[in-house]
Amino acid sequence: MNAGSPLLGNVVSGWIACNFDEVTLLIPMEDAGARVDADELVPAAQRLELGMLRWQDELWPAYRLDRELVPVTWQMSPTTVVLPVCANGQARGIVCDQIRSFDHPVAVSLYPVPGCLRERPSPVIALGLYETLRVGLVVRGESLIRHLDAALGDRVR
Amino acid sequence: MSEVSAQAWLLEFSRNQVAAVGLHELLEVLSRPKLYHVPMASARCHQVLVWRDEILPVVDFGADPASEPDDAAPGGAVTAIAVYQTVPGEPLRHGALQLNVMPKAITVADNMACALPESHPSLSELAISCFFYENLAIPVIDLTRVFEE
Repeated sequence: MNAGSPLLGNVVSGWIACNFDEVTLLIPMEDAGARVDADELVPAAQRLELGMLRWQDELWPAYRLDRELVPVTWQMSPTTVVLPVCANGQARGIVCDQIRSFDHPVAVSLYPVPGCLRERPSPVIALGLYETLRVGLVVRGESLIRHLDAALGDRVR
Repeated sequence: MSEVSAQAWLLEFSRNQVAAVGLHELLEVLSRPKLYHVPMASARCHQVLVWRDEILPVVDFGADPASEPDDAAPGGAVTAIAVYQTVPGEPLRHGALQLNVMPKAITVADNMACALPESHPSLSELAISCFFYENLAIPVIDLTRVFEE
């Protein structure tokens, strides 16, 4: 399967791989902005918002996620990097340990999520195989932003 | 008339969770392969591995289904690669099973058939038949149900 498969709905120009808590998110380049360093973030008021990033003249919150893709508290360091993820005029920052880009759409081979792994609704729309042996979780900007809003709503309730 | 028998693999998921599959349904055994976490999944199936350019789900019936997924848990001693087919004529699919010990090849005869055990409902729900072996009722599990549902 390639990047033009029905799993994504359209063809992507490349991929961004961002790592945190020993998971890798694979995001189509169309859904990501240019990486931001931690010291470029504007301080935020909320506990789980680690800072605000500027994207298209607006400020948007940045979060650190755990391996269940839930926002968590996190101590920023000078090496922290933030990936803006965007969709439908909105953005969120994902605080990562490492960000890499792959400029070829076929850099990631897509596989459907097997039935036994679909326990709960998830923003992960597919699994991606890259660099021969590495596995990442394929998300779109829209599904990840929707998931973050739902997860933060659950925390408030 | 002579007794009909078949070869099967005996799979020990934990000390008290044992099941069987047909001899043709196991392809290979791996020792501690690299596992990748998948979020929002169950305690028994929250990891995948890479095998021959495929991403396979890893099912661990030895994990407590009521617990949170735990990648630090010891898991199985060996990982067996299984093959199944959802519909005749469709391409073969693969999945991985965490086992406590190496799978054991046994011979199962028709006269060993028995009722499904009630002690381990999670395995019984996946069973297509059952046989009695060394004082244990051993469910024969349907791999399509294991990996697809």
